[in-house]
Amino acid sequence: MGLTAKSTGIYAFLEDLNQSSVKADAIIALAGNPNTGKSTVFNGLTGLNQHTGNWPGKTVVLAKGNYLYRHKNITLVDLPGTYSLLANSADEQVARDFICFGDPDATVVVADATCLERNLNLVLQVMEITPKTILCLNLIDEAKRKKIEIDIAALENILGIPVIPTAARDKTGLKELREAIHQTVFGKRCNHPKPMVYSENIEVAIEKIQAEVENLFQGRINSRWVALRLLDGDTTIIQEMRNYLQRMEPKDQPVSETYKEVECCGSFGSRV
Amino acid sequence: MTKTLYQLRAGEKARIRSIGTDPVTKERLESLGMIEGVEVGMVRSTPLGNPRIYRALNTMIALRNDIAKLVEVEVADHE
Repeated sequence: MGLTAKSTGIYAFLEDLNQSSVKADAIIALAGNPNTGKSTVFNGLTGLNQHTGNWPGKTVVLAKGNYLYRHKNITLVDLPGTYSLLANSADEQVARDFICFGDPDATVVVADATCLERNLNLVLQVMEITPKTILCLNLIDEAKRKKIEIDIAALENILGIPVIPTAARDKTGLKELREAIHQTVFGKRCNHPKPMVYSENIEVAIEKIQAEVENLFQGRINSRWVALRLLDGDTTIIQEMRNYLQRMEPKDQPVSETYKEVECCGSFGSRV
Repeated sequence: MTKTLYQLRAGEKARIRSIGTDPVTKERLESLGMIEGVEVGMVRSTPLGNPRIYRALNTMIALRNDIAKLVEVEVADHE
């Protein structure tokens, strides 16, 4: 959607976050399919007035805003709307990079309650990256009008993450959403998202690659998920691993060495 | 009866059997709701006959005919 590969780098944005005058206590990413009301939720939470519109593909760059809740300063990052995180387009890559490498304290997935089934695809992908996922079931008023009834408790049970119904346009449910974010980041409540288990041969391959990835990143990013992407033959993730490592440890380790290791992981992934 | 998505007439419904596109396109279709086993319907054609509009998981999706020809569907026989 008009993004160049250059403008998709998340690191400049992260630098900017670090340098902002008010130190954020937590950074929350806002993800979701296009046209589910992410920007409306964003505006509702932050009180800002980012442009919203009833067409998909409106948010093409990252927007940020702040709000104060229970004496904590929360920075909210509005990601471009995507149907998946498999990085088939520039927007998908921005969203994926931010959730995986940007290390947000929690990720809220905004889903359209009127076509939940399709939206759950993205929810599962985000849950696979981070357990700190919250599902915001937006447009619940619209769903009600269409006689769609959603069993929130059952959905929470199956997914293992908090599910908050909202109608962001009327500010319904936003208080509960703020509380759920607070609990997920600062509370004792621990999410236990349903683990995604693959067939045995894939699991064996994951285990092999994951060990290498873990070695490189030492617990700072989700090595299982990166291993999966490498197995999938996703080459964009290799570049992003490089960017991440270059930013994280320019001193500790000669960069060229690290590059080689990343390259190793990558070629290993495509061989399996 | 097995057909391709392209062969469905307006109003006709079927279940997706397989998606024979390249993996990236398949992933894209899946994230839009066109998943094997899901019911799809042909909604209508467009003025030029290409793309055509389909519905899956309560979402309307416009698909080019060259892609729709690669999606195999099963039409219920009881009609």
